[in-house]
Amino acid sequence: MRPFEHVDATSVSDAIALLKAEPDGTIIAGGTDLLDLMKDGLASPRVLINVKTIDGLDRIEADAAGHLIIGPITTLARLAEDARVRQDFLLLSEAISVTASPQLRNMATVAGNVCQRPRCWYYRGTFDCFLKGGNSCLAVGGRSRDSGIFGAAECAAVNPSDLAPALLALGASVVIENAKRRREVPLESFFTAPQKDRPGFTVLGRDEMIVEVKVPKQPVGSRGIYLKAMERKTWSFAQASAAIQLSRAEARVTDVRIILGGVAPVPWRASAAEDVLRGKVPTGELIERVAATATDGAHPLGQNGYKVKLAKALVKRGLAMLVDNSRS
Amino acid sequence: MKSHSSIGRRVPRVDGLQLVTGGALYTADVALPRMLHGRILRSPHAHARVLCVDAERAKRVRGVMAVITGKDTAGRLFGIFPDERAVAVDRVRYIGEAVAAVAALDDDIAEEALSLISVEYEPLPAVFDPSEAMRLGAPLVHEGLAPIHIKEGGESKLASNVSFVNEFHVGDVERAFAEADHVREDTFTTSAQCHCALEPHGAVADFDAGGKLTLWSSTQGPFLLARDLAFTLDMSPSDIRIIKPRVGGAFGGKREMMASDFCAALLSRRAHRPVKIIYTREEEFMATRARHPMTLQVKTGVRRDGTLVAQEMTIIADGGAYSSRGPVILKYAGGQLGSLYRVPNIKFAGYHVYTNNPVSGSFRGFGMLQARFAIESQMDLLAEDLGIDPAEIRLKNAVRAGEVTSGGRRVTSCGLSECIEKVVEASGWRDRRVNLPPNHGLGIACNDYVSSGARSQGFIDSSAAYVRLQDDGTVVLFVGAADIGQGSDTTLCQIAAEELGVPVASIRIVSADTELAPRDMGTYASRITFVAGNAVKLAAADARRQLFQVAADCLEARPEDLEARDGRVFVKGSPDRGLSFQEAAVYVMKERGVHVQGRGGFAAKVEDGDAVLSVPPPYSFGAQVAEVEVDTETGQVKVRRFVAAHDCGFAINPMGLEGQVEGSVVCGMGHALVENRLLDEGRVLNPSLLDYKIPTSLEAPYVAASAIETKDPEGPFGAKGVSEGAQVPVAPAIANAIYDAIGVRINDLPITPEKILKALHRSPKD
Ligand SMILES: Cc1cc2nc3c(=O)[nH]c(=O)nc-3n(C[C@H](O)[C@H](O)[C@H](O)COP(=O)(O)OP(=O)(O)OC[C@H]3O[C@@H](n4cnc5c(N)ncnc54)[C@H](O)[C@@H]3O)c2cc1C
Ligand code: SF4
Repeated sequence: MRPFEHVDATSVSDAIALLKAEPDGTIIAGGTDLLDLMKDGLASPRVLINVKTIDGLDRIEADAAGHLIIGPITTLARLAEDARVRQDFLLLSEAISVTASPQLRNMATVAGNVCQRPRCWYYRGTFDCFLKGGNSCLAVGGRSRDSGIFGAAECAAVNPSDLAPALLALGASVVIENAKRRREVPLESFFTAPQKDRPGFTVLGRDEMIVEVKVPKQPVGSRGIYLKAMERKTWSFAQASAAIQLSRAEARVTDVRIILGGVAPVPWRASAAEDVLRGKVPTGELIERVAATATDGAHPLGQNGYKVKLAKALVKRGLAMLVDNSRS
Repeated sequence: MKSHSSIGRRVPRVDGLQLVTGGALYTADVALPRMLHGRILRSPHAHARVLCVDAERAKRVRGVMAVITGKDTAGRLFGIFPDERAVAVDRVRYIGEAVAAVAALDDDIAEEALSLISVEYEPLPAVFDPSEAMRLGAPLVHEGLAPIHIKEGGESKLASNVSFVNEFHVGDVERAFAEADHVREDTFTTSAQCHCALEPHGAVADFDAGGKLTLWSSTQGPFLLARDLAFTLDMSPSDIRIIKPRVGGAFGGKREMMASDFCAALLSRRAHRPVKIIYTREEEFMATRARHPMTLQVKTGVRRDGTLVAQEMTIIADGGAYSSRGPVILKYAGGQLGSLYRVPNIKFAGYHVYTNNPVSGSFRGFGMLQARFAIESQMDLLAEDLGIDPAEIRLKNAVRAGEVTSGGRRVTSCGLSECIEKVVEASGWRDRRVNLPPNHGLGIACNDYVSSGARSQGFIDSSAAYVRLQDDGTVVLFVGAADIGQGSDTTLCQIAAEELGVPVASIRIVSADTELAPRDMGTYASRITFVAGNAVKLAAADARRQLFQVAADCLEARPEDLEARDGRVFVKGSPDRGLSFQEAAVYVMKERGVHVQGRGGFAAKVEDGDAVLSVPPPYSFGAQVAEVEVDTETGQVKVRRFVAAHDCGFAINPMGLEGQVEGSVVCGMGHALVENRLLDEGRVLNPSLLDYKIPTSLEAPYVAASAIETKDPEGPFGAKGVSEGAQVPVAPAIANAIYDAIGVRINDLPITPEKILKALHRSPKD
């Protein structure tokens, strides 16, 4: 591992200035991903800029319009336990409760989670795959069990985050700052497929910092659910997951967002399935139809066809539970 | 019947307090003055010639105190099938094989030095699939290994890379198949399960100025380790002292000398300082051992009433780059024919094949487990074909005490039928199999197991023990047997306490130290309770006899009229005429100058007759029922409950038995459902506990374990082994339960959601 310096930032502008001044500098939050990347030689920053020392970045609060504002260094554990989150954004708590392990959730931060790198075993292991400058994606013709079924271009890795699909289902955005400007980016355009020179899953520039995550207020009576298929009940990334937020008026669905995790380089929005449901009364038969549509356009590789079935099953089950719940 | 004071009781572990307070000393805790830290450089190639290893730059790094390469070793081939070097010399045969090692002031320096060693390799063609390796013309993993004749579909053909063949035929299977009412043939495959002991392999070596070596190692067998070390280091075993500290799990993975043992020793010899090497988790997965992946074909003939008449099994085992214990494991797998159910005609062909994969080796279940997965899965298939209840067909064919099996085993005690009856009753088998909710299922499977080993490295399986009376009436027990977490120190203390008539608390045990304790073969073959237990019992009886001899004078009685119980020596029938052990000890030592030192030795009765596998009795037996629930939409299997009954002869410590059964169920469940070391051209894809999944406490089912006590005539207080056998039926019980739940039969471990979903959605046509 390359020797590095560790600097405590005192403010957001301090952190951004450090990032700009040090082209080989990287923000460190909980360090649960970054330190592993460094040990495996996948990242070798010269300066680690610690943002956990910046006051006020761990806030969880509502703004005047009732939107939830989450500070970037808020740990997953704190976010999941927050009373307001449990009340109005239960989907987030549910997603976090099946993320990693309690020890990791105590360290891992919200911004760190949405910025985590691929978990593809070729990438994390000692293989020269496309993402590490090699010629081709080794997963595509190889052990593709964990790879994506959607949108794979050069790299078939999936975005491994559980929080990201949940945030997306709530229509969240991130607020990003660099030395010049501050911008708000909806999560839908924040995530992108990994590239050789940018092995993360985001459009974040290297001199930029996430300063806020914003979750819009949900309509009254809107409910969410997060279901995750995994190889064991804890300490396991998603084979597939479904984050669903459903709003209804009377019996009719006024709005719905269905986001699939673990199946694509970005949290995958099942728009066609949403369209089937929107404006309708969700009967069992309709839910079956929605679920069947959820994986439209999937292109499984040699070993990951089961993800199509899993995703469908989770969507069906999630919707059934939501409909059932809101009745009671 | 005389009641027992120390055995048959739920005695807490003698090392329990240290273990739960963090006070126990493990190898990684050993810290010596001037100690260095060692790291090993490993091959990135699955198969290559090593042309040149240049360590000059590494040697010049500040803080590097010694560097070794293959050239610095004697280059000797070790192992029971000697084909492996501790450090590669001119060839590497798997990714992870040791090629050099460094000792430095700290780990970081050692790590940096490793990166400065340049190795020139000439990559060679490699082969990763055993059936491809067997093809004539496949790359040879071991150059010069001649092809041999094997039988395939009745025809003989030549095969490459076969390191060992085991074939036998008892009776006439062909004729029996022809005469059987029903014959079926199925193929099963098993995966590479890794031991995943939470404590990794490691060693601390210290050569003194006189050339004597002390080595602390996380090992299952200190005495055999001393032999391998002495041989590869070209020194005398008597100049080596191995100390086994507490061991955090081994499961068969710590039976052999590892590069950590050898390199720590050689680096220490070179640097004249102690050297510690502890493996990383990644090294655990790539450079130790794993359970042999096997392809097993089983053909069985039955009569309409379910009577088994013939069974034929063919196994191809992926041995990886070296033999390790593989050939023996293969023999034990074959030995499962006719061992549990009466089958008069049996035939076996087993092939142990070299590939350029990491090395396969011993793992709890030792080949018997893979064979049993195949046979027990097929028993259910046969039962269904014939319309017989799976428990009934097993009962019908179950071997019984007094029989000699077709494989030549003398069954001295056998509670198999009782085990089956017990789990059938305790699981509510008869009612619940019919009344369970949809997608819930029950599955049964059985096992037998050995309680001692066959000859190992030419040695008959034996143990010895000393018992020394202290002048305060307490006792020190010296045994070579290695407690690797299974609790043998406690069991052996209980046996000594019972035989001597003192409480367990009066006994201190010194175990698994090659200089202080008598010789022992090590922990494997579920042999400690039976073999070492017998030795301890004899040693304690000898000490008691010596004590009675002298104490009799003091009590004015004849030695043969004395009895010892609960810490007192007294005249039989008059408990008042007696002495406490403390008084007795003072008397014999102070007044008479006599030192009470009992000795005992025990050797398993090797029967070198025509048995297909000469492992002497006794044999343990067991039966288990698994209850599962399958989610047919996600393919996930939840193991709800396990009911287990094991004939262990006599449960010296019922709590120890339960612990072994619970551990077995969880480990077996991992093997059945998730665990699988995945390779891509010989490189491990999932070398971490995140990516290689083992079950957690959240998956662990409720386990109801009970002991069936058949009191084996040759066992200490009737005891036999139980530990490993308990894992054998787990995977087939789960596979059978899944079939019962959803009608899907998976013959290929692990039974993942992918496979279940695929099978469920398969159209009847394909
Ligand atoms: C064993 C294990 C199991 C796991 N299982 C799961 C799981 O089931 N589900 C799941 O979702 N995740 C899982 N994870 C991933 C884990 O959630 C992430 O590692 C964690 O959320 C990262 O947060 P962190 O604060 O530790 O980030 P760090 O490791 O500190 O940083 C990660 C990345 O984010 C960047 N970063 C951090 N903060 C900012 C900021 N404010 N602005 C810009 N960039 C920033 C860093 O520069 C770095 O590139 C697992 C991880 C491990 C090790
Ligand atoms: S999926 Fe991406 S990270 Fe994995 S092998 Fe392919 S290119 Fe590499």
